[in-house]
This record gives sequence, C-alpha cells and structure tokens, in this order.
Amino acid sequence: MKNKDITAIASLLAAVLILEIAIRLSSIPNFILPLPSEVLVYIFRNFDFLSKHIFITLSEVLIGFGISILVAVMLAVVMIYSKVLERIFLPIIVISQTFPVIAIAPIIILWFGFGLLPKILIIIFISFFPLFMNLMKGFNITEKNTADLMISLNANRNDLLVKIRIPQSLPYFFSGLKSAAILAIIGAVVGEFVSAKYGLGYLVLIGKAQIDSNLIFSSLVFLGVLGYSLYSLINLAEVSLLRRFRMKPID
Amino acid sequence: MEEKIILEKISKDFGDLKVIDGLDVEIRKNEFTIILGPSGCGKTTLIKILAGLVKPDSGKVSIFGHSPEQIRSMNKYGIVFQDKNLIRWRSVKQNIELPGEIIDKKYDATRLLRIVGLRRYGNYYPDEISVGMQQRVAIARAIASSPEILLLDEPFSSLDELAREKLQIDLLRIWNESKLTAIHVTHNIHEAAFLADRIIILSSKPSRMIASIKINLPRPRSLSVLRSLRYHRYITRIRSLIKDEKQGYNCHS
Repeated sequence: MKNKDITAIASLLAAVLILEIAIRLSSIPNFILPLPSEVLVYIFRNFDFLSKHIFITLSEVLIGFGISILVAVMLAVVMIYSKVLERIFLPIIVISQTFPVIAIAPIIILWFGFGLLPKILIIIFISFFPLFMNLMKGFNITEKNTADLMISLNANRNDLLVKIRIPQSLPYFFSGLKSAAILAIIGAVVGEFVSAKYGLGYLVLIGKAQIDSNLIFSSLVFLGVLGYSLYSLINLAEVSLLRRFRMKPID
Repeated sequence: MEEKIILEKISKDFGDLKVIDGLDVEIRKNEFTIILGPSGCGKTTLIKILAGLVKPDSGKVSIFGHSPEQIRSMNKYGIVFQDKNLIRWRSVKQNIELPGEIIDKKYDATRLLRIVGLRRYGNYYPDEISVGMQQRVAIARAIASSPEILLLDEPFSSLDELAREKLQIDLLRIWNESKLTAIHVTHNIHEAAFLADRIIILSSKPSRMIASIKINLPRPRSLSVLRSLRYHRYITRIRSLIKDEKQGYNCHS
C-alpha cells in the first residue's frame, strides 16, 4: 500500500472517531444521528439482509455504467465521422441534459415499468454525458502537425481515428469515466427512489418511513464504498494504461 | 517524365497577411536544394505547398510533371517536420513502422534504424531519447517508404552545434545513397552552404526569390569543407545578397 492510501484511510478513521466522540458528548438523539459504532454493529447484524440490496444496486450500476460507456463512445465516434449528424444530435443531447434526472425518472418509469430496465436507462441518461463530452474533446485535440503527418502518409479517416484520435483521447476518456461512475451511482439511487422494491436507494426510503436512521446510514455507507471502489478501479486502470501510452492524467 | 520540380507564380495569403507573393522556383531532380530565408518568411508554407498539404491561392506546382497530390498518393514524399512530430505513445521502432502500417506494407525497421544510427534504440520511446535522436527517428520515418523527394522543414533548428554537424553528415550520406531529391528549408547560412547543390534565397514576407546560387563544393562532403576558402566565399556571397535585399535592392526584379 502506498503512503497516500494509508493517509486516506487514517484520515477517514480519524473522522469517524471524532464523530463518535462528538456525538457521545452531545445530546443529539440516536434516531437523528446514530453513533458510527452503532451503524457498524447494525451492518454486521443485518449483513445478509443488506447484501441482497447492495447486490441489486451494484448490478444496476455496473450494467448501466457499462452501456453508458458504449453509448458515449459510439456517439462520439459517429460525430467525428459526420459533422451533419453532430449538428443534428448535439443540440438534442445538450438540451436533454438540462432536464434534471429526478424529473426525467418518473417518465422513464412510466414508459418502461418497474424492473431493472428503467433504472439502467436512468443511469445511462445521467452518466453518458460527461464521458461523451470528454471524448469529443479528446478526439478533437489532434494537432495540425500530426494531422499533416497523417495526411502526408496517405492515412484515411479510419487510420486517424485508430492511430491518433483514440490513443490521444485516453486521458480525457478517464477523466470523463470518473465523473460518469459517480453519476451512475446517483442515477441508480434516483431510479430506486422513484420506484423500486430493492436496492440501497430503496432502503434509504424505508429507513425514512420507519425513522430507522441506522438503516439510512448503513445504506449511505455502502453507497460510499461502492462509489469509491468504482472510482479507485478506474484510477488504477488509468494510471497503468496512461503510463503505457506515455501520457499524464489531465486532472 | 519531366525531371524538374517547378513552382510558377505561387502566391499564398493567410487572411490579410501575404506570405508568398508570385514565387517562381525550379528544383532539379536528385539535387540537394536548400531554401534559405529569414524566420517567418513562409518557408514552412512553401514546404507544405510542395507536399500538397497547403494549396496556393494562385500559381502552379508541378512535381516531375505531376501534382503534389498525385505524388503523395504514390508515396513518393518523405517529410521531416520542424518539430519532429513523433507519436509519443509509439516506440522508436513503432514510429518508423507507422508509414508502412498505413499502406499495409512492412518496411524493414531494423535496416532504417541502422541507417540513422539508432540500431539499439528501437524499443525506446521518444521522451527517453535526446532531441538529436528524435530527429534521426523522424528522418528514418521519412525515408521508410523509399521516397523520391525528401522535404525537410528546419529539421536541425533545435539541435546543438555538434549534434547538428553529425546529423548533417548523416543526412548527406542518406541522400546520396538513396538517390533522393532533397528540399531542405533553413534560416542557417552555414547549414545551407554545407549541404546544398543549389541555394534558393528568399526574401522576408512576402516571400520572393532573391537569388538562386549553385554551390560547387566537392562531394561527398565532410566537415573539412567548412575550412575551405571556397566555402567561406559562398557564405560571404550569401550574406551580401541577403544584406542587399534588406537595403531595398531587389535582385529578382
């Protein structure tokens, strides 16, 4: 483990410890703000019950996020090849993104029912956009000199895409991927808020109805773990892939 | 087939800026031609016009009787760009293999590496080698397709004196062995006189031709040429031509 990982874990533990002490010293009732230790105990006691919901949210996120990556890449490639399609679809995409996902979610549920599909669609809707925009930027930063080189070598547009545009867009791709991963989790929770019988978002709603703050906080803990794990995995892939391509992350 | 590269009344503007104004140039096959001019006189634009990467606003370009686009589609150009233009995620060897990949041919990268003196550096990446070595890679890539015409845009401007001399010698050897028509753009008078069969001197913007000088120095050239009296006479003559131009005297008209 690297030094900075140790620092991250240590500071997280310290924060939890300070919170624990602060709550114990204060007179805040448990149902408003439970003790971290209490939440931990709750998680251990109810892990079987919780794990079913974690698994549901995790699958929604992974499937939705995976498809979202495909959608973003395909859209970006299509728009590189056709300025006409870009002019037609870019405004539609941008306008669609001005609608808050919480307002779109009920419509998606209305159209596609209550199962897995609407959640996945909500996740795609909210998470493909930052990735798509980053890819567009990454594809389009080809320097004039590089373009001249490729033209002088009789390269066609496919060569330019495969040999220059895609590799050079990698730092942008990963930057977009990280934002998209976090948004995918938000999308899953939004979908579960609007209509679900399973998932961590659903548990938060149940917790609220039953004034069970332990349940709410346990769900939040797992959402955090889920988000951070996904982010870290992407980071790991980014570091090793960018090193192979002699590039630096852009953020 | 015509044996000359002919530029006829070439003009090029970028917006309000007249970069080249009615330039006439003739370049002979298999000669080493230097295009000498001050920085920012449109030399790079001229190279790009020759390569078919920039279209002149008016005038005619004939490369051995063909258009630049035709020559390019026959893979007869090798271009060494000013900033080397290596692809940083490709190793030295992979950079040299790029031209072959694009037209589905396999060029002997090992042989090319040997020609430019980088036999042991095939697996290095551009950011791991010196600027001079990077320029060697760029030259290897340019000659990969065995071109007939080698265009060089100030290839040595970022090199120190020693690296520059070594590369100049190597470039002359490669040019001689490969029977290339070399067109080399520079603002360096010494480099011009050392390399060239013929020097075409351009004025500052907009570019016109001031003079075309034949350089009669022995070939193959070695660094001892630099000490010869004739070499220094050429330098003096080029200097005075450039100076006259600055004082408003126009040889061309």
